[in-house]
Parts: sequence; structure tokens; C-alpha cells
Amino acid sequence: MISLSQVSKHYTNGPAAVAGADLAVARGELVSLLGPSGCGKSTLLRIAAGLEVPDAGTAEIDGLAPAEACRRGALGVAFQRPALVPSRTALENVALTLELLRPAAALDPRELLETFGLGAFLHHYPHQLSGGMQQRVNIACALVHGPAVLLLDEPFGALDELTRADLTAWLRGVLARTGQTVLLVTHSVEEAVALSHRIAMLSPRPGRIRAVLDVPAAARTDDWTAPAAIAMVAAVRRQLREFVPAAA
Amino acid sequence: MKPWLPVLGVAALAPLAWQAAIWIFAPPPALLPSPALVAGVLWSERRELAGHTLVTLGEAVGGYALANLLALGLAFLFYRLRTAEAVLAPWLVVAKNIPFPALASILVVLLGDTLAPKLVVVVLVTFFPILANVSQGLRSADPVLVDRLRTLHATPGQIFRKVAWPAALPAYFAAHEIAFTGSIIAAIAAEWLFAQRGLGYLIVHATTQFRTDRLFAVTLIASALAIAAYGLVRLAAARVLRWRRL
Repeated sequence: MISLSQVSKHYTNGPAAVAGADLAVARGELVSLLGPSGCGKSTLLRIAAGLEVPDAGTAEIDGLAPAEACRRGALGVAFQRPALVPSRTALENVALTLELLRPAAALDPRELLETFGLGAFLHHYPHQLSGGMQQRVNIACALVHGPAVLLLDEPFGALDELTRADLTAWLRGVLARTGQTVLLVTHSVEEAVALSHRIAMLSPRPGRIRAVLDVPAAARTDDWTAPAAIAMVAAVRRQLREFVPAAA
Repeated sequence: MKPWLPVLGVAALAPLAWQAAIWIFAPPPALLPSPALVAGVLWSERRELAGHTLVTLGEAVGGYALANLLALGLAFLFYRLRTAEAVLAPWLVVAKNIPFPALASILVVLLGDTLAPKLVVVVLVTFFPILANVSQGLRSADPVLVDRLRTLHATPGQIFRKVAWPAALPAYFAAHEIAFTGSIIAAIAAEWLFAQRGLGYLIVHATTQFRTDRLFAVTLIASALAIAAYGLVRLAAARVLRWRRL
């Protein structure tokens, strides 16, 4: 599981990014972090990934410090921009994860990419792939070593609306099979509703977790026009509006 | 169209244009020798010219290898230790702006007409483009990719090998295009100042003897060497950076 306890982070020459954030993500659960731009969502995720050290509070992954969880290969991280080595093919990029971690057991990169519909693009370089394909390779890189916990930082944020909807449906299918614990940072309420068991909402900077909503199973659907999904999206928006003032 | 076709085309047309200029303007051979006359010098003096060419080539390649060692070492130091860059950068700018004829003359006084002063000149001329490009290239490594490797518990050495160095390679080859060809000109310039062998020495000798035909022959050899160096770099870059062209 993922545990963030009273986490605060203050960057030099700036206001606090997050203040006293508490969040627990249970095993096999997917929790989304929603909030306005600059509210500290990505900072929380980076703290959980061990990329930032909190000024106060603790972050744990399955009871381990994030750095130790990384060392043991318990963590997979996918960023908004695909983190692919330009001089390596899709297959080599996925294999890079295994070259570095050398896990005892892992998925076969080739089979994984084939499962992701990229069988014909194994030997293509990143610049030869579309944005959606690059993002699928990016997620394959985060999944190939079979981590128990997955951290996703706006993985589809840079994609167009239709590709984003397609990939959200695709990711739902992938995660349903792997059953990983996931912390997802997103700006899209629809994406959060379609994927999450719970949605944690942050206030504007300094980010505090102000509300956590359960998402009913009926709302977690690929059909964003389903009545349950529409109702949940409206409920989340209402809740967000309570602590995010409307722009002038 | 093959990329080398225009190069060959120019190489074929240049002697024709040169000969045409001689037919039209009829300059005295001491001012502008004909292509046939220069070709004759290249053939009849081939042994002597080849000997001097090898001397220049040795100085250029030797100096260039030293410049690479020094520049790559410093670029790596700057990548790992930003303080080192802050401390050394101003002194490197000073070194870059030392008039190399002055420094080389001092070295000749100290070391005599040996290989060392020529190597120093080649290093001074070629070192900075390599250092600047590789430093910039290493810094251009994608920070998101570096973050990914950090979450995979990569060591700084692995991050360097897997991300930073591949990111610096295009800039390194761009530096070679300038600096490797420059190394030949630098070696000739060093010989021109003080030497008893090499293409630079031949230029001085031919000038004092009013041997314009020989001067042209040496110029052609120097140009051919520079073009060959450039071609080698492009060939190596095309192989190493093959992924960029796909």
C-alpha cells in the first residue's frame, strides 16, 4: 500500500507546495489526486516515488521508504511526458527497466508490448511512434518488472481528447488484469471517475487533501456518458468548486 | 539524389572553371598555375609531398586525440561537479584567448622544434568546441528520463551511460565536424610558424621560392585532408546516430 502521513514540502523561494497531506491507498486500490494546477499533486507523487524528500511527515510504500521500495523494484512510475531514451527502440526502452533493476521475476518486454498492441512497433524509435503509442511504451516501462505499486503522473495529460479516452479505457483493462495499487495524478475529472476507486481532492497551494470521495462501481466505466459516470463527475466538480474559487 | 553527388560534381567542375579562367584571363603561371601544372607537381613530387603530409597528419591527429581526452575529461568533471565548472570556466576562457602564435613561440624557445609546440597549438584550437558542445550535450539530458532512472535505483554512473552520454553524442559529433577539420589547419599553422617538416613548412618554403605551383599543390592536399576528415566524421555520425535518420 501507499501511505503518506502529514507530508509537507516547501520549495526554496516559494510558498509551501503541500502542507500536512494524509493519504492511504490500500492494496489493489486506485486513488486519483485531483486539484487545481500548482496545488502540489505532482509533488506528492514525487515524494511517494522518492524523487523529493518531504520537509515533514513520512511516505511509505508497503512499509518501506520510497528509495528502498525503488531498490527492490516495488515501484513503477510513469510521467506525463514519456521518459524514453531517444536512441533506444520501444523494446530496448522497456528492457532498460530490467537492465537496471535485474529483478528475479519479470514480464517479457516483447510479450508486454504485444499485449499493449505494439507488436508491430517493437523496433521503432520513440520519434517514430505517435504520442499515444509512446505513452503505452512509457507505461510498459513502468509495469515490466511487475511492481506492486504504480505511480502515474498525468500519463495522458499531453494527448488529445479522443486518444486520452481510448487510453483511459485501455489502462482500465490493464490495471484490472494486474491488480496493482495505483496513485494517479490527473487534471481530468472524467478520467479520475473512470479509473478510480476513490478520488482525493486537494485545495489550492499549499495543497491539503480536503475531501476523499468513493467512486461507485457503476461510475467506473469506459462510457463517460453513462448516467452513474455523469452523476459522479458532477459530484466531484461540485466538491472541487467548494474549495477552488471560480476564476474571475 | 545521393548526398555525395553534388560534392563530386563540384570537385569535377572546379578544375574546369580554373582552366577556363586561365584561358580567358591568361595570367602568368607564377601567379596562377594551370591545373595540369599543379597535377604535374603532385605527381612528380609525390614522395616528398607524402612525407610532409604524414608529418602534418600525425600532428593533427595526435593533437586532436589529446584535445579529446582533455575536453571529455573536463566535460565529465563539469557534469558531476558544477563547482569545478564555476572555478575553472574563467581560466579556460583566458586559455582560449591566448594568442597561440605567442604561446607556441615560447614553447619553441623552451622545447625546440619538436612535436610538443605543434600539439599544443592543435589542442588550443580544437579543445574548446569539444568541451563546449559535450558539456552542453550532457546538460541537455531529459530530466524526466533522469527521474525515471532514479526511480529504478540507477547509480549516477548508469544515469551517465544510459541517458547523459547518449544525449551528448549528437553535440559531440557536431563538435567533431568543426574541430577535426580545424585540427589539420591548426597543425599547418603551427608548422608555418616554426618547423622544418610538414605542409606548413612547405607553404613557407614554396612562398619564398615563388613556387606557386607547389603552393597550389599543398593547398589541394590540405583541402583534401580537411574534406576527408569531415567525411570521416559524417560517416561515423551516420553510423552511431543512425536512429535519428529513421
